[in-house]
Amino acid sequence: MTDQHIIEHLQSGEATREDLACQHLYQQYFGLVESLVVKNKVEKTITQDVFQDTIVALWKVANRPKFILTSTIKTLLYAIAQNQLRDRLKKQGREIALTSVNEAAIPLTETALEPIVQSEQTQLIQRLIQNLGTDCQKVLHLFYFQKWSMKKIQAAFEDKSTAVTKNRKARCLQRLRTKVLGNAELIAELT
Amino acid sequence: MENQDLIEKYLRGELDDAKAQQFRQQLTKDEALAKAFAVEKEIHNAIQLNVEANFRSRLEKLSTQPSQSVTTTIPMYRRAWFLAASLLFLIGLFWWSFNQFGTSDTQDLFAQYYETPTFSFDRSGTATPTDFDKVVETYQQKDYSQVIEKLSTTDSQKLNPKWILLLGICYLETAQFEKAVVTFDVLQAKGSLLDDAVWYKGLTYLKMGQKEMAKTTLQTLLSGEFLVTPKRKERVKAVLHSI
Repeated sequence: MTDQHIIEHLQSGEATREDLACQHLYQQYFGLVESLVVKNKVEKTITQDVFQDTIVALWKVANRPKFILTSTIKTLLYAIAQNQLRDRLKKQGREIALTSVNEAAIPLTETALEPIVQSEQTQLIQRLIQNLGTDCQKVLHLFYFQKWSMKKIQAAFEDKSTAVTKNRKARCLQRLRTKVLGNAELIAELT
Repeated sequence: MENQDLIEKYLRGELDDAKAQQFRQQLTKDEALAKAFAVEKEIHNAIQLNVEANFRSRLEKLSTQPSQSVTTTIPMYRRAWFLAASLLFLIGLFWWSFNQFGTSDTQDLFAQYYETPTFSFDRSGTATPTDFDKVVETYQQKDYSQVIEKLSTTDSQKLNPKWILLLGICYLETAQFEKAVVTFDVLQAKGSLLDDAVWYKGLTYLKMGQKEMAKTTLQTLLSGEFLVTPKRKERVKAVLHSI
């Protein structure tokens, strides 16, 4: 699987294709991250966590609007893994032994890697989203997370026109809003 | 409604710097807008987290699969056993290699079972030819490189399963085997034309001389996971028998 194929799979918004890419990444690069962990004299047991966080971050970076792969996947993944490990070690008051990576080629400076604060309210809304049904979840996912255009979402759903897709998204969002706004306690916390 | 459009654009990062700045200023002055924004932002965050949680949970399942290297110290008394085991392994390897090249050649098997599939036109009667028809016409003229050029530059989201299969076959016909395998993988991942995707992937591995991969791939056609025509099942059995 070429680097470009991996990126396309990660950007596809389809679980099966994303899984295919992740499987490949596990097979090819788990050892690489493990060696980074070992080199920094950190317990090997955290490799799994670091690797998972790295893949999640890579997936987020790949799904940023206008993302273009300007290095190899290996270089990008290694740089992300270093960031992940650095953050973990920082919490323990330690520093990472850095390897020279062409950071200019790696788009990590923006907010893509910053985690979203998971408040109780967010968790509650998450549960409301999970009750929306698969298609609604998917359209909101493609629109808000993957930031796809309506035209692209229309193709994914095989809708007859973008107007149909817009309507689909508006209906789903409205259903979610109604549920959120219907929860007085939640609204009081939010506003 | 207007406010919601504006908030949506801001949250999707569609406002330029100046407009985003103006929006933030507006938030400090307009209480109604600020309240609406607080709700929409939380919904937006929850969607992001929900998508991430789904992704992580699938990743968690995959994480049981990687092979991880383990360093161990071998006690002295066990080394003799390791030596004996290594010798046995070498003998086994020699036997396997002998059999590998002793049975029918993968190239012959491929030639025996592979037939370039035909694709039918979408149009009926005098209807105008569709884009797919034009590609099929090029394919029928065996101009596979031209088909690849046309299809590989098309956004993969826009390719329907039939097009993807066609692309995979063209890669196979032009000896771009790695790309053929990936293309059949994509088709398989889409859950469409599974029968064809797996059959041609198996044959591609045969052509590449990767017997074990061909075997594992083709065996899934007999697993009952998805529908396979009886005729193809017979052919799969025959190939597996020859392997």
